[in-house]
Amino acid sequence: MDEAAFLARFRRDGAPAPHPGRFAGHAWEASWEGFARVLAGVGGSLADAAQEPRAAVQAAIDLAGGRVVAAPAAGERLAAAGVSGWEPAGNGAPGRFADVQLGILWAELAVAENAALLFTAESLPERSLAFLAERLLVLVPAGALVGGMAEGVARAPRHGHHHTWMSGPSKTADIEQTLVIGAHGAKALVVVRW
Amino acid sequence: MSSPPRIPAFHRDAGRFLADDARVGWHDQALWHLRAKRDKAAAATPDWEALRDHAAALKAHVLDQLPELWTRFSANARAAGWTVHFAADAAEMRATVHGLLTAAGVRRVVKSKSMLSEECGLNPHLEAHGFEVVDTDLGERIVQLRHEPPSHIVVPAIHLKRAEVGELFHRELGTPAGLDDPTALAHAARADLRRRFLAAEAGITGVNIAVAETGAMVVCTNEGNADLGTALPPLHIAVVGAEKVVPTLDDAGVLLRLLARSATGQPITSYTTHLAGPDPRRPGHACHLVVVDNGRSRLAADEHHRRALSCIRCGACLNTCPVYRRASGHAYGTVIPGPIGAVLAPAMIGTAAARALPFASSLCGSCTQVCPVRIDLHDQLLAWRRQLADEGLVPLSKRLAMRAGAWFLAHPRLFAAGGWLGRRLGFLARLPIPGPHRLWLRHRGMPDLPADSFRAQWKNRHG
Ligand code: SF4
Repeated sequence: MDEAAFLARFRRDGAPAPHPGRFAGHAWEASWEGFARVLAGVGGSLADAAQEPRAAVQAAIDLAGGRVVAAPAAGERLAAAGVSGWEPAGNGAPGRFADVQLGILWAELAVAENAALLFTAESLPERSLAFLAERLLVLVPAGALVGGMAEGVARAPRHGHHHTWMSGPSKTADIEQTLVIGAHGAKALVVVRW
Repeated sequence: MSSPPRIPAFHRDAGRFLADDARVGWHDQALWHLRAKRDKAAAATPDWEALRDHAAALKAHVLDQLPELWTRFSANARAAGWTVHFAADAAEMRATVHGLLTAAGVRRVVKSKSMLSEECGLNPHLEAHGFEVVDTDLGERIVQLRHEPPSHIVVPAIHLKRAEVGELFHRELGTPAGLDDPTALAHAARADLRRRFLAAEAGITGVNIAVAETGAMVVCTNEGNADLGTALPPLHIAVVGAEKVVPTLDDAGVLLRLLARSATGQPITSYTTHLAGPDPRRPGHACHLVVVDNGRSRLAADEHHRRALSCIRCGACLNTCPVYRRASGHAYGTVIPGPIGAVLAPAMIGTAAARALPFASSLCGSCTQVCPVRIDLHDQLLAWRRQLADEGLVPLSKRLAMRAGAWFLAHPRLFAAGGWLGRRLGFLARLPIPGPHRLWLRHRGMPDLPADSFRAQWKNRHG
């Protein structure tokens, strides 16, 4: 039906209830310990800071046992650091990642409150890689941690085709409330501070 | 809400579910487990109560501003490349989606969870017209293969045991007979659905939040199925209820902090994706958004019940409800069961068709206690009862019983005598009784009666 006629059905007289403004809630601490704890609770893990990130990523690639593909923003860093054994995402049909064993992504932001990682159209131009890869390795700059989700959302892009918050691997509890990791997307998710 | 409206035969269907004691006990516990996880998540969120207050105020604002917000949304959405459609009712929604699929020459469709498409009967309609529509949320897939509706809005197959899912998958997906391990079953479904995702020509999704500021939709899943269903096929059709818009991305953030915690106790869903129209990197990628009324404008004009449109479909009120936990979702006979379903149904399908549902509550208020957007659910149920009585839709037996009760309670001496007798003859209530009330007593025990009346005890203590 016509938009104007549709909207007229919802029109109300009188002053509307005011918008409550910005929510000034709890000031969550931007701590990697907190992030790691929540991430473990949602089925992911944070690589030990003591391990050199380049070596951690190379070890994961060597153990991948199949195709390893890096999203562009991650690929740039891997190339600069001399990490080998991966291919760039390149161009083509979105289904071309169906046999990828390990996807390597670059997150712009991490949130301690809920272990969410932010991927945007810039860091992850092709979304399908993040959901087709069997496992994910996510590189995140050590300085890109914020405390609360409100702060995270405030920094999310208002423009660009997409952005995704990802908190741990894919999961379901649809059969008898038993948690199963890897319902459709990644079966494992490891975060490395880069 | 669905068409044609069914008369909820709540008593009969709840009775059927209650006949299996073991299942009732297990169902009750599984849902209580979700409620306990919600409580833990709420306790771990220091600003929880303030967050609920804020969300309630935000939703009140939204309900007063729907035309303005959708106008702003559609301008931004069109700039982002969405084609925005408006559908007055379920029939128009079905016709719109059907038309888009036909125009694109699509046959294979993957769908992620959308209570709105259930409400509008989209699947049966498309299937009747030769489309292959595959639900991809695991719970939805299970109930789809069983040809039954979801029994819960977040965990659609909560009424089933693993052995039943194992049998179903053995028959439908060829898993080994007797296999009932949830991980193995879920991974079998994953393999089957992965193939279908890759072959799909269109993806249909629901929308958790539409953001006016960005002209984008937000969709939340734990499985990642909405992401696969939108990242792979060349055509995306999103269907959204007219109440789901918010002004800004920050406002969406407030709801995101509440939704998963209330639903499953997670701090946020595994995947929360914000999509603004077609992907400029994908040639030929087309995106349509269908905004649906289907009774919402009528509810929005109902001063008593319009707050029910604030619902973010978290399912917390279902998980906590002692009636839902024992009756199961199918007993309600509506797409949305539980306390919120019982509040919505009379407005959406009419008071006559939904007349049993406002009584499917103990009015304990637990739903109101957990609702993240502070909908006064139990007050709403009581208000519906009042309206049903005014419309003469309460059965004669109940009306007579109520009148007798009122008369009894208005006569203190009679009440005292009744109590005296009750304390002596109360054991009779434990004897099996015949007739329709038998069911009511099946899962209830009469508590031990005190030796003295309340008034006598009060007198003893306070003189
Ligand atoms: S009424 Fe409240 S508690 Fe129930 S599903 Fe809706 S938002 Fe959740």
